[in-house]
Amino acid sequence: MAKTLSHSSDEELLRLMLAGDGDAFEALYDRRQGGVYRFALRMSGSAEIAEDVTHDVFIALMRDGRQFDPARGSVASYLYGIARHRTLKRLQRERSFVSMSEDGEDGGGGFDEKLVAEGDPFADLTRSETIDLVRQAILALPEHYREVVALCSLGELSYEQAASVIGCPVGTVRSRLNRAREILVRKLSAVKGPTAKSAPNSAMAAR
Amino acid sequence: MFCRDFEKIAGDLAAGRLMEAGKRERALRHASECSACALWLNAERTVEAGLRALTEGAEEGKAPPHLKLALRAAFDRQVKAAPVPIPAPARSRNLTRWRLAAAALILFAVAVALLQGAAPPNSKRDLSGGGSPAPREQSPQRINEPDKQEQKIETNVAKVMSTNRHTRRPATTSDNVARNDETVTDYIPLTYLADATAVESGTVLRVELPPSALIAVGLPAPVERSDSRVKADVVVGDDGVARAVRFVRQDSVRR
Repeated sequence: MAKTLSHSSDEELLRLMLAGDGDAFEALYDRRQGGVYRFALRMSGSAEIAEDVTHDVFIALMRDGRQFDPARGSVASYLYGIARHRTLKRLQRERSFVSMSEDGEDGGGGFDEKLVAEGDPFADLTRSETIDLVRQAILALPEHYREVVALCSLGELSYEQAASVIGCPVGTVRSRLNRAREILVRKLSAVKGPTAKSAPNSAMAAR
Repeated sequence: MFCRDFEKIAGDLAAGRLMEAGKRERALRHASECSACALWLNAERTVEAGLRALTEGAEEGKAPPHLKLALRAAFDRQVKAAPVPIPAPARSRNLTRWRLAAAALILFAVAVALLQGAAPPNSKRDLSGGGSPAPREQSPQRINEPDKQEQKIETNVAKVMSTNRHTRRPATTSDNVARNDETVTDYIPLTYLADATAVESGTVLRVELPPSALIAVGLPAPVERSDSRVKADVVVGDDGVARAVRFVRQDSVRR
């Protein structure tokens, strides 16, 4: 039975789950909880919020799973959509995630000097430090940039799926992702000197 | 290479994506000469490495195990509290809706047909208004031809009368059965009840009435035997109210 469930599609597992099959629920949870949890964690920076959101997502699936419409997207998109809604709601209420100062949307200023790496970044920063720096930089992104990074760059969704979750055109996802990455790089490339705080093409455009 | 050209390929360079060897060499040479672009490239590499590490990072990628246990317990509670039916696959929802609508339509049509067959409008009107109350009495030609259903009713009447001997004036059982030697009138309504309250089931009682009963319903009384009693069949509803009456004359007593 477990083998059968492991090969079942998300839609089939959801159908069985709604019929009262606890094993199907567990199979669907095992398959999707990681992505949901990671998305909430990277959006909030809080394991507590991520756990709460994951809990809420699957409770909502139990209660309102019949509202799932395959014509509107996959089960994964449906779950991420619930997770996104819950996470943003929670963030609006608590604002408990770690914040980094930023200058406007680009957030080019105020970044810690330790982010400036000379040469190979792994020569100066340990792996965990690098991860932590990137994580902090992602958390400092505006929410509409952060969510596309969490869904596409860090998550497992395609641009199309992310567009379904967010409710925007695919092109918007693509452009937001490019812009988010540029912001991340700009943050991490911040240097002591004022000239290095901007992108190379703006600082030395005619070089 | 200009800085803006370098920025366009810095991401690919940091990610180690395939590119033309000469282009790659020119970009790296530019980065070695331009500190800003070198920083930019390093930042790209940091972002790339960080995103990859975060993606691969299993230590933070799962919800705690107790959450699964709690959710499973909640699921079991919900199933016990409200057993859920197996939903139809969403793909066939529209088809199911059409089937349900068609089934409802058929059921409605069958119900209407049954209602019309069980309680013909004429019978109710006949009992509460003018005319004969029972469908079998509609045709004048059948007045003198009691059918099987009528005989069944008459038998039922006999039973009722046998249990109500003290309150009614029964005739003998043999008299209660309509016979071919009897001539009966149409049923004459005794009430002005609306169709909604018209009798749908009841009992026909064979009784003997004084001739004045004929006058009461507008029929001429037999003057030759004013002291005799006339036989009549009274339709009594389940509520005990007499709804209609017909008079019976045995051919043997015709003069």
